[in-house]
Amino acid sequence: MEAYLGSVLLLPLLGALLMPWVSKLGRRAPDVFAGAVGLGVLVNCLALVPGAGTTTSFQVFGTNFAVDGLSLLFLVVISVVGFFCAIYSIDYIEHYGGRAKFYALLMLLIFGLNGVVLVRDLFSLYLFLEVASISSYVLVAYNLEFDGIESALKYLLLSVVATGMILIALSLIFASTGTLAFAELKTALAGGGNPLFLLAAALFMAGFGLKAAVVPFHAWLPDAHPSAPAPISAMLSGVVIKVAGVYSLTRIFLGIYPSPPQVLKVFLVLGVASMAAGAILAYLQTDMKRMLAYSSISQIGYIMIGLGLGNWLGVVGALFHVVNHALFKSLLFLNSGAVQFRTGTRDIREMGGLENRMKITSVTSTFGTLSIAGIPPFNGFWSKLFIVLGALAAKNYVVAVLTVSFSVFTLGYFLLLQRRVFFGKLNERWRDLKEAPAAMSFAVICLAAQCLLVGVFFSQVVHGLIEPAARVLLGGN
Amino acid sequence: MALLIVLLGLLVLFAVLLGVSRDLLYAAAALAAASVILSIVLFSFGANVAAAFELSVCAGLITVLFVSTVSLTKDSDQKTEAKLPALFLLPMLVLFAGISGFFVRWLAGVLPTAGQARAVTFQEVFWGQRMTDVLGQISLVLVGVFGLLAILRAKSAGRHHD
Repeated sequence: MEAYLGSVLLLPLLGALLMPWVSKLGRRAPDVFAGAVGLGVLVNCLALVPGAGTTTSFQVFGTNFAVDGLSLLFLVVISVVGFFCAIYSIDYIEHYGGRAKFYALLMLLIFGLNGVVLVRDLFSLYLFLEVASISSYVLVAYNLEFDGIESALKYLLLSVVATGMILIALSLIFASTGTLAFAELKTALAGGGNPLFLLAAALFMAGFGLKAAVVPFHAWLPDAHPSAPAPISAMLSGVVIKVAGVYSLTRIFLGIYPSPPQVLKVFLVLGVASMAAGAILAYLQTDMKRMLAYSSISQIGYIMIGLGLGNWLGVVGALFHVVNHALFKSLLFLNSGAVQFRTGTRDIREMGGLENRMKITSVTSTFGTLSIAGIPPFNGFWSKLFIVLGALAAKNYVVAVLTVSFSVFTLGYFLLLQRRVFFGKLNERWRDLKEAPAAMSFAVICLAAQCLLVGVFFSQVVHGLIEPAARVLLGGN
Repeated sequence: MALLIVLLGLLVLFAVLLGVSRDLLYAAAALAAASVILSIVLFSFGANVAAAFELSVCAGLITVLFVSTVSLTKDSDQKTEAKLPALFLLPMLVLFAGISGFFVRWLAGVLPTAGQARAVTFQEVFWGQRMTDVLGQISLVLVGVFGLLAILRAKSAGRHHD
């Protein structure tokens, strides 16, 4: 078990370290190597799933790490999306150049995210968060064009504000309790009473809320995600905002802080605001990736709502939606990347009828649309159902009605996107268009299949992966 | 106490130099000097962990990254640099000092009284207590290096839309 965990943490770091030498072996060597590292991390991570109900501690270079159900769920999300993004990049990154550097930064991003979910003290969490964040700033600017660099700077500046707030909160907590270790903090904070704990909680909420891009801390996301290369948009929307934001918020407020009803109410309010604002703003976009970015804000809202409900169904629904959103949003971003790769535009108004030329992209995009809209038997249906049932169980009928309404609204604007991009009469401009290259198509087919399979076998996924994570939060592990 | 006042004075001096310097290399050097002095102050307060990281990350790693970046981009035009930040420096320092003073007074009333810190060596702090951070630092150095190489790489000639 410890060997699997060590591999999951260290393989991406070793991969990044070796990448400069690997790149000298041949033009395609970085592709093969990055795929192999991604597969190694994924296999080792999946090998941990049967033991999801237990907590395992391990040491790397004398440092303590541990994995419990919650960490494992996020590890699986990181490794699945990371692997398919690496595969997709084989063809996609061709026109950006510098593929060895790209893969090295992608691996460091994965390493940072894995570190965030495996550490057991707040300062180390902050440190690995910075590793992941700095990698993602560079990756957002990777196209070296004006919009990419401008977005990366905006992302950097707002993230610095977030990390500043997190660092001040850490200082206050350390000064008051003398520790930053999760287990010791839980005991130290249990008494409450100290006004510094409340101030630190507010700073954590704003700092990690900014990382999660929940409304009103979302300003950086609609610029950063569309400007990044598609696999990085997929990583940012599918994984980074969840690990840096949702995981950290969950670990701190449902795992360490004694979670009073007021904190859950804040989660609920932020969740409803994000769900509504994200969906409405997404509907107004004509840039395909920008629409997906706003939709991510909306979907993070569903996760926050589930967590804010605080009951079993709500939390299970939220954690299941973390997995599902990672799958379908990565799929949709990768598909938008395929469309941009072939057409050179992200403007929906210039598209139309692409299904005649890009069959795989069109079909897999339909899978993504049905999943995000919560249509059975796709995965998004079950997680949204759990969240709605959680709201009904909590007798919060307004939230239940809003969740269903915005799910229908999501279906509406995604069907509109699907129709304007893929269906209808083929725009003559795209008469000679070809399907996306093989590696890109392979990655989206696999993700689309997972959207369907996770929906069909939802019971096994919930029992095997989601419930152990929910028990960590609600069972007081 | 006298030494501490001298050190704090030097710290402010280097911070001002950093803000008013028209040459980015001098500014990076002033930042490194300010970080070294801050590390000494932190060591003298017994905050060994913070001191170790101020010295290694801020004075070491960040300076290396700044100096490399400035050296690699030295040819670019710096004539357009605005004087506005330098004009705002003094009012900002005064404002920051005021806010800090207010916050520190408030914290002093709320925080529990700190006990005498046990004297520990740099070696003990760096290699014994915070190995996670060493791992984090190694990866941050890697991110910095790959990030610089990626940003400064020659751009690919054309895009494939065929």
